[in-house]
Amino acid sequence: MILEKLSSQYGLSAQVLTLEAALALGIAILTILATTQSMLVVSPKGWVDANLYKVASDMLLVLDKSKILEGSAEDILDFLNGTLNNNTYAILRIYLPNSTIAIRKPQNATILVTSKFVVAKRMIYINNSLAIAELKLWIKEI
Amino acid sequence: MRMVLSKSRNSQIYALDALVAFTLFASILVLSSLSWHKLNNMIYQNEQQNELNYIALHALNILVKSAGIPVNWTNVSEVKMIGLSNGSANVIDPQKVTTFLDFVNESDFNYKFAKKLLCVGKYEFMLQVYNSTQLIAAVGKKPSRISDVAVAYAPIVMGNDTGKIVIAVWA
Repeated sequence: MILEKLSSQYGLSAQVLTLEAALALGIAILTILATTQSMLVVSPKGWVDANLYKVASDMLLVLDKSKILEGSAEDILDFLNGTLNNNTYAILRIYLPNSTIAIRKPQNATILVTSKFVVAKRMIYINNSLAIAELKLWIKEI
Repeated sequence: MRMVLSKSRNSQIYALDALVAFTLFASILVLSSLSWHKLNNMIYQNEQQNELNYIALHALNILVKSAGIPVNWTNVSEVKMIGLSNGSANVIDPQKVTTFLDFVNESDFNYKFAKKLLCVGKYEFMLQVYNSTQLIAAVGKKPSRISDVAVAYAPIVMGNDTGKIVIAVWA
């Protein structure tokens, strides 16, 4: 009845209006489904980031409690290589009173504009002097 | 006569209209139900993965952050709460690690008791301990497939060496 009224009012056939209504409904349903699915695809990444942040803060805790930072840069790199997963990249910066040391895993690791990284910081003692350790971690993009 | 013809033509149009509408409605209904089923499946898998991740992270925290109750436990079957640290977070007592791993390896009953201590519930677990260079011990059950597995790891200090503890929880 509604379509009949519309068709007489606007000069359109009921067929055309039915098709239009069905298409609109279809597009609306597909949009809702696509939005929900994209939200679901994004959500597991939250866990990866949360876990990575926990790893970063635990790494600094272990660096603080062990004597690794008092050793050489190779010792620190060995620790990063031995502890972190292969697909996890890292940049560790130690801000000493007069200088800064940066250690990268792998040695050519660079944060790209698209890289989503986590940062953890901790105040630590190295050879009885206070320093700030900053660790950036991110998962290698395939 | 003209009137009759006009009415007949109108009913033809309505029948075709109804057929088009029904076909479109039916195809949208089928498409929606298929997508709904797929979506439900995705939500279930996502929820299960989240639960596994949470359990793995929690079990790992229990092991590396606490010393357990009693603090200086020596017999796993008598502990009220398990913990491998020496009282300081992520600093692991090597003796506790050896005792716990031997206990889990001993029997299936002990493995089930360890599941209770780690609060992994109905899921299975595998625990690996690495020193700075290599894997030194692995206990528990190996996952049968790669999917539905949550893996969490934490760096540790063990004696004069560093390493990591990896836990995999799977359905």
